[in-house]
Amino acid sequence: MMWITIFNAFVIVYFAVLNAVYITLMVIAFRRLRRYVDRIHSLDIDGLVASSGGLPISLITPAFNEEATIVQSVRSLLTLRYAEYEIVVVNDGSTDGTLDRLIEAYDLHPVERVPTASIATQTVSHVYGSDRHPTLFVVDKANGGKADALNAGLNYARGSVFCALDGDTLLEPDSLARMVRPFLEDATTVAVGGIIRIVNGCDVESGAVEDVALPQGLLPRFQVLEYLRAFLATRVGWDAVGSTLIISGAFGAFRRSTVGAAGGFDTETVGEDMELVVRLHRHCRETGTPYRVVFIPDPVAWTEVPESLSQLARQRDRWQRGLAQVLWRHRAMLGRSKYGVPGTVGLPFLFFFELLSPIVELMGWAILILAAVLGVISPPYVVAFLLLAVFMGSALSITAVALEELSFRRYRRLSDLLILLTIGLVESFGYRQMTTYWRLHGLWSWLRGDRQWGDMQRRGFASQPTETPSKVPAGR
Amino acid sequence: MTGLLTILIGLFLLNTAFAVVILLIRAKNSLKAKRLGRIEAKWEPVLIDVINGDDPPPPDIPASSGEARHVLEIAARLARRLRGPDRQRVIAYVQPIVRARRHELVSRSAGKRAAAVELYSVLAFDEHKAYFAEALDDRSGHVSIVAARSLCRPDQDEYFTDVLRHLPRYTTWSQGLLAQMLASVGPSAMPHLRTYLASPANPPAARATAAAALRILRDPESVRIAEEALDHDDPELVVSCLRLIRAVGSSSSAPAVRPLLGHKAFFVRSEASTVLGNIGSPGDVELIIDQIDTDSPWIAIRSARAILALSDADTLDALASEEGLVGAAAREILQEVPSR
Repeated sequence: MMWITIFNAFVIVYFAVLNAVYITLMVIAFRRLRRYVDRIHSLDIDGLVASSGGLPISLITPAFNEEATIVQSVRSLLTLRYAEYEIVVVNDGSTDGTLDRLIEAYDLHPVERVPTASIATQTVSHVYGSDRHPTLFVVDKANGGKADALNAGLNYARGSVFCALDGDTLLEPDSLARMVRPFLEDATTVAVGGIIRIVNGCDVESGAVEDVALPQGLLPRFQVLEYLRAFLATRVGWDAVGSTLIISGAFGAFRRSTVGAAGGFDTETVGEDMELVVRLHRHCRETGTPYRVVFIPDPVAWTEVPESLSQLARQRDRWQRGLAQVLWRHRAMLGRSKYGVPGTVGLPFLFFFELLSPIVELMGWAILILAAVLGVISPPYVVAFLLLAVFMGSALSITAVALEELSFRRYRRLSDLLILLTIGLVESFGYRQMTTYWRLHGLWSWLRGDRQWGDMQRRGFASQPTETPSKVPAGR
Repeated sequence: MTGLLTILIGLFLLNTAFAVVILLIRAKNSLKAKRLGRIEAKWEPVLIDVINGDDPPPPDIPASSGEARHVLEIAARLARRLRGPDRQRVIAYVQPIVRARRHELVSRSAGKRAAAVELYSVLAFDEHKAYFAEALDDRSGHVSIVAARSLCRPDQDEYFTDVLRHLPRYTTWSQGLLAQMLASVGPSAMPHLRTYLASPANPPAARATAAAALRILRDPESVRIAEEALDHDDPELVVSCLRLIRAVGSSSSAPAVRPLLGHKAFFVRSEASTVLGNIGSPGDVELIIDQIDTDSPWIAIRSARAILALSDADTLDALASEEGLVGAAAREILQEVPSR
């Protein structure tokens, strides 16, 4: 029985440390956001855009079977408020009408374009250009996965900074101007992450989000709260301590030369976005290059999230596998002072409290129940611990809503705010356990060597959406 | 158990209190938004009348009121988009309440100080320009750069040397942005920039910024200084001077540029090709063809463009039939020839 008592003590300490870190991050994020909001009020963004012509940006958008959304996504990109940018769409061997839709919508024709980097990718068959939109290029290549597509885009990009975007991502008109600001302010900036918000439920007209609202389904609503927690609390907090290790693949900007020197995106992982950021930290620290990797919460990209359990399960499974792959690949950085805060704090936290947490959580509950059954601890104690976990989870979620309310206030309807608060109270009953199970499954999949990306159904951004299934082949 | 129960009750109450606080914040924000909406609805038409040349009664609100503070923000927003007399009319109209936010210039928050500098640089520049010059030394780099931006305005070179003196403080900032800022002063800045570029005592990165500003201002008198800087060890300064020569130089600068086709830094070689394309002679085509066949696609593309600029398309056409990087670069540039 002794081991049960020891394990229970371990779980309680683990739980306490985890929550203490989250609370600390939220307090840091709160201070940081307040200062940040003050700071951006002092910037004349229009003036900054007008005078930032010296920093051309390439937007790289990998597209695989995105026929439902690709034309509207590109249209949204063409209307961005920025002086000098080009769009490089990479058709990653789509089996649907993605390329045809693009050719038809933008009068594309094959052009000669010299690749400016030589990162190995699957074969590129053609590069298309448009007379109507001289800054739009489409690279048509054999399927090789998202990282391979991003590398192909990187090879054909010409901007000194590139922005990696998902094919179903909608950018706000001033997103690029805001995203480029850290590069303008500090020339050692090598990567910048922006905030991802959920477009499900919003009113989208001509590629722009016109009215922000919560989605109808319970599952995407849970994800809205998760995204607020992840971006406004956790990422802002980690950024404040200099340990931004994750920049979402849906919206991140990188200095092209540094990414090229680091070898581009890794095609062997399903977490290529996080892998690149960790590798940039590693590359710059090992070569003694001054650098900054930052997260800023005001450039907004809108993206669709899964609305069905099966798709969400696959996504979370993939995220956990990606995390495991990245931590395994860069295990040499763990705990090493040579790698600064990312090596000594950020990565160990990800290892102990993100990668292993599903195992600890599951085993914790199992042992707690076993202990109650065996009479080691009283059942009311188990119930009390369960409630403690629920309340702590709720407190963190509600704080994330508070951060949103104190900073950007995108959800203007009172009903949306009440729903978010309610979701914060109930997500610990069922949803949290489901995600724990999916993450555990992801770990198992990683141990088995699974490298599949899984499916994603795109609804499209139109007011009357049409379901367009997009099967993703192995290797994505 | 009692302790745990207490914690649980505490957490429950805390969560509930949190939720209530958020709702209160929302209520406060909604009221504030409504109030600001009312102020906007009342004052924006008045300010537009002012822009249109009408003569509405002066603002009859105390400068210490929240309304006055917001009116200043609306006025600044409109004034930023305007030039000339329209802008002056808006600025003159809000002068009775312009002191409403002056206390923010000395706020403890760097963000608020910077915002106040930005606002007063639009609405009351002359009264505050000495303060902005002092703010160049603000402990916050952000406030300092906002002050520098506010001091760099057309035909206002009074504090330009102060801004230049602080230039090394901003070397982490993008060169393009700083150069635009310096160039916004206009021709009166050129002598100061020339002196700054010529002085070896200044840091190379800051000199490169000065060269970039002179390029934007298209100052022909700075070409000689730029030529002299071409043998500097810092490639960033060399590239900036090459770009300056490309913008305002002539064939007389070509002898100084040609040796840089063999520079160790590829981006210097690449820029040198481009410059020769602009100011060189047909005799430089052979030199450029000699260096086009490198591993660098940037050099290949820029050399191809330079060849096209210095000769007819047939030279490039011949290269276009080659395999590899040279042929691809030539074919890409030939696409830009309209008749083809």
